[in-house]
Amino acid sequence: MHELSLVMAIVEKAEATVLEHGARDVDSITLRIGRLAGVEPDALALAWEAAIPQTVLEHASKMEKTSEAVFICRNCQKEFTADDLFACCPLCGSSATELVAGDEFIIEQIILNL
Amino acid sequence: MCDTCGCGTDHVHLTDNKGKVHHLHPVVSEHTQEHFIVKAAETPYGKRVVELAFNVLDKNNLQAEKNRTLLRENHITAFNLVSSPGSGKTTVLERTLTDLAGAYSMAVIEGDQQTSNDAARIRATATPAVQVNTGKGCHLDAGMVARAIELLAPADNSLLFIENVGTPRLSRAFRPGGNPSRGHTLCNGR
Repeated sequence: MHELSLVMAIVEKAEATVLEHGARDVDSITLRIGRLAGVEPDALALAWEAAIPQTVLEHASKMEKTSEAVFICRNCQKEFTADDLFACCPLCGSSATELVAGDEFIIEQIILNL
Repeated sequence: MCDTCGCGTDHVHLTDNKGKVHHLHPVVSEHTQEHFIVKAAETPYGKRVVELAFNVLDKNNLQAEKNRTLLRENHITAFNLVSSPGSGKTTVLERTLTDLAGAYSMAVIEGDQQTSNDAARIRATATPAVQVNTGKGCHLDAGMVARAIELLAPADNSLLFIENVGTPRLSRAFRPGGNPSRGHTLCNGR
């Protein structure tokens, strides 16, 4: 999904949350984006500005946190962090590593205006 | 992994009125699991704090899993070709389709940012191909792959080649839905 699709999915979730709680709109929203989620910050900012007018997010403030990419080595079971999808294990050097966290795009919190 | 408690499985934190944090593991069902927790204490008047753990990418991941299941059940081996534009994916694919013609039933899902050119080259090999123009996007998502598979209706025990765009990083992160045990991601070029 490119950034606009991601933002539209966020808008959809925010609208559903507002409806569920009988709120007016969103005061603020906190996002947690994994370092290896493949999200381009500039593109996300542009998509945000384009997609939020006339939605419950129009006047909301946005906080973005980045979470680390965590890998596990299938060879020696070591857990480590890295910036590169094809990271090798820093302990045994194996390339049989698996990403266990860091490719997520999470809405952590929404503060609603009642 | 949760940076509050270090737990790696699905869970939520509930803060009660005394400020105590409860760590709960929900039962995971087939549907995307989400819980919201309302923090009653320390919330300014007229506002409500709703804590979610909603992964925007879940919908794609779920569709990807469905794609993988469908391919697995029909014994279709999927190859996901990923590399920077211009590094030779289409050429490798063209040559593979020509060399294996008659030995296997094959089909191609072609993702190209702007033109139908790659699909035309593939069609010249007489292999069924579907072009998925990703427009401004730079990778295929699981929904696009699902629709393409539906159109192609690959035969049982066949080979499915997904010629992707963009970099290996994005392709892996967005999981178009090739088969992980009988599927292969080939990274070419830089």
